[in-house]
Amino acid sequence: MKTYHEITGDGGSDILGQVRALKERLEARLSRIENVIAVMSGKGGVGKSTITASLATLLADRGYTVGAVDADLNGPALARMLGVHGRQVRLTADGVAPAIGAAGVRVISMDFFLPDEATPVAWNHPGGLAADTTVWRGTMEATVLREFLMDTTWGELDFLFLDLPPGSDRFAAVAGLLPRLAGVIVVTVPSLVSQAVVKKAITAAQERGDPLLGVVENMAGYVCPVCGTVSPLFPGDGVQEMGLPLLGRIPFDPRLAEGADVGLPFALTHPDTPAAQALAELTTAVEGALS
Amino acid sequence: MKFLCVPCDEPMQVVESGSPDETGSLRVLFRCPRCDHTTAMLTNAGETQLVRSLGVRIGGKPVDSAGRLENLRAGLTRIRTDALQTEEEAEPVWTPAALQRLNATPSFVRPMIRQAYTDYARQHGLREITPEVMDAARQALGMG
Repeated sequence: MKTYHEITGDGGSDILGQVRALKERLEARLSRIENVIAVMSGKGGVGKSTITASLATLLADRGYTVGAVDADLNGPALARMLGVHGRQVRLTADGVAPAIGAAGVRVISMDFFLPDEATPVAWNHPGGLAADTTVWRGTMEATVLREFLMDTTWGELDFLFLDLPPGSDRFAAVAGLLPRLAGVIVVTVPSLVSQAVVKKAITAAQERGDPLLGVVENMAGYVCPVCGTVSPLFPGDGVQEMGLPLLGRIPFDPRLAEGADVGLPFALTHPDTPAAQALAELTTAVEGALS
Repeated sequence: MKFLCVPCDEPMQVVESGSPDETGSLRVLFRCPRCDHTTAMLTNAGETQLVRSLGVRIGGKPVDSAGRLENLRAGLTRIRTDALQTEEEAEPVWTPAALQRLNATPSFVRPMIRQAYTDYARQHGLREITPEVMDAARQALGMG
């Protein structure tokens, strides 16, 4: 009787061919995108989405075509920040047309697919597996992220930003899907707790050989809206040496959060404020790092 | 996974593979090309979904499933029913007066404002976007 390896093919399913076709579809979709940039941090709550939204809208305002993937499937925030919360997306013959957000940024997000804000992401699960099984969630999240990248009709883009969920392991899963990555931006806040976690994420990324562009120090002081004085928000001397270029130091401004809540890009609506100017300098630094 | 017809010592070929039934079970028929003996592979819901989560299908992938966020739509326990608009819903036409009003908005918010009005018009079956439609949309969408 023949053994498994003596039989060529798989009876007609052509699973390997299907996997190859998926890879080619993803590559074809991303082939018209000049720079895919991931925004990551090992730590949650440091402002990844705020930095992503600001970079995306500032670059779009400078004349680039820009897209953004809200890759934090369980806590999508980018859609709201870019003014497309709850938006419907259009199914075309070629795929799914992204929502057009602030400054014309093209957006795809899990936000569009959940019935309301209180509904968490939950996956239909195979019999015998608990719904929240880590392995199953991880598999579905990677699959859906691939679909976001592959099935969205991005068109030609100068930049596509991936706003990643917290945790260095999540970045590894996303990076594994991408045929090429132009750069990774790491976001932290000045607290020692955040820096310690972020350093681990940087080490993991360096060991994988990811193209790290540099670090953004977010919430680097608080700008008084009355007198404009910048005061520290965290103890210490800010972000310490991390072995990467410091791309920018963004002071906290409560109006930044207000703008994010209603989908208005603070850096464009308040261009003369210290925080907006720091975001503009960060954008220039990112442009320079990629040129 | 491969199937072998033991009497013929011949690998069996897929001859039929449909969609999963309401329980999530999938039936795939294999036939021996020599003796025509047919056997069915039956999966449980977990096995079906595990394979699909890889983006592949036993028996081959239909062409029309390309580009449709298939796993997201099949996998989410609770999904917004009107999340996706179909292409048949034609793009509403902007009247000159409506366009003039749109162009008076700041450039960085204009694209999303345009889409918000377009979506509103589509949802209400309107073929034309006029200043009056914009007023109604502003009120309905709470745009102030």
